[in-house]
Amino acid sequence: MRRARPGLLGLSAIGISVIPASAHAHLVVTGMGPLFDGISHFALSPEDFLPVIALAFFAGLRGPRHARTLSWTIPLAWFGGGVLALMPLTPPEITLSAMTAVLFLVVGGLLAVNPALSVAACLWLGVVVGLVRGMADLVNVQKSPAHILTLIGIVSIIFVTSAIAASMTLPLKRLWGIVVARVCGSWLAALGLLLAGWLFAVRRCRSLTVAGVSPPARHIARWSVCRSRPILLPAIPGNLAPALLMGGIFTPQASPSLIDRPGLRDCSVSRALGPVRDEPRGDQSASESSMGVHV
Amino acid sequence: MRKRNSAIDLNLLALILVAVPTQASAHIVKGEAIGFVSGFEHPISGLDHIIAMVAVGLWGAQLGSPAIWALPVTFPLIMACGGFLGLIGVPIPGTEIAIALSGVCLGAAVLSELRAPLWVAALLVGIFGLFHGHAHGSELPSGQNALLYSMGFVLATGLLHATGIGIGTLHRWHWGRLALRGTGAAILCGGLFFLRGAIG
Repeated sequence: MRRARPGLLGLSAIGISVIPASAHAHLVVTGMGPLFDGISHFALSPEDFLPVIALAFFAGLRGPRHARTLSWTIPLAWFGGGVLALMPLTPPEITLSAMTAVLFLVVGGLLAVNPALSVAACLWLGVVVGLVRGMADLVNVQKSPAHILTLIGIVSIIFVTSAIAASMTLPLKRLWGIVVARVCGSWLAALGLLLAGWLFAVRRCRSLTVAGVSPPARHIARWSVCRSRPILLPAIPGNLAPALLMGGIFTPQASPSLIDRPGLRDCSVSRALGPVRDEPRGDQSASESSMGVHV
Repeated sequence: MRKRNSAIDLNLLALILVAVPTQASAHIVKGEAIGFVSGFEHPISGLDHIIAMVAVGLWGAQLGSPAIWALPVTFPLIMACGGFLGLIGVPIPGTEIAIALSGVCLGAAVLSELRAPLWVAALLVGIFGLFHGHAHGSELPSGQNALLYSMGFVLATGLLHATGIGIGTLHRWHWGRLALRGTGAAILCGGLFFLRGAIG
């Protein structure tokens, strides 16, 4: 009695099935080039698309002139911010994170309150949102013109998103529809407050993200939170000054004993509001690496 | 014939194995995914929080416009302020007692269909929201992604209010009003139970 055996096809299939697929650890690469990497980056980054959608909702509620103005302003400012980051002319990453939290609060608050803001004020708000997030997106990538295509991808999806979002609230006449949009704004404002709380909670800096000073730290941006007792060091590095001004108490390079103390927790603030990051890998093109890690 | 079928089955099995996606998932944004889920789970992990947030929606529905949307907007905003205080380590004494009291007071308001002025209702809800937020802010787990965690947290809170408002739509019918008052009584009892635990 012969035992049933798989044929050549079956053996080949088993062989193929045990071949490991590529892991793509840390990657959010579409494989379709930098333009689509930019598009997917925006779509996968809540810190990017939430303020854009909220601002577009607000502009839609205010009227067609506001909506049209913002549909062009945000992408152009975003592009400008990205170019500034590539030059590189950007404030430190922690400042951009803090500004993002404040923008969440402002944009969400505006949408929730729905005040009669002028077109010019809306325009300037769009410029600030675009510049801050554009810079934050590309602050840590390799400074290369190859990222321009990624930036164009981001900007194009921003234009489409803001136009669609504004067109959703523009024709709203029913009260419940307007209320839903405004409730979304209040949620965004609450999100901004919580993010600001995370930023304020940063009391000890485990690794400073100072480009050019500590290259490995450039990719880490991890901050530890100590709830036991605040410590204020007399010497505060320059890049932490803006964050300190916001009320946080920072201690750079906390000692291991401090970090291991009970009650100490990790808070990945910069991970939450992180930019497109480079992975230092030789086999990766600039465009791939631009979307390589979004931690 | 049977042997041949077995061989075909094995071949099929092998082909199916090939078709099974072999996703590695090595190190892929693990913290972020966990951050959103943890944040979403946090407000719904404690019954004391749930009853208070649902009660806010119920009371808003009983009070009608504009309280129906003003109260659920007030609560998350003030709760976020409380979370902010909790995160930076500002202590607020008696948090657990206040949270239990929120169930008692809001349950009593729903039970009695209290027609309070909007500013009084908003103030009451805001004060309780502060304590709820502070408790959440103080209990945040380690190593989470701040943005995704906060997103899940705010979304879950808002959905709890929406649940309350959804149940509150029963208010248009007579039997619905009775049912809502019964729900208020249940919330009041729950609040008393938690209050006993908080004091004892």
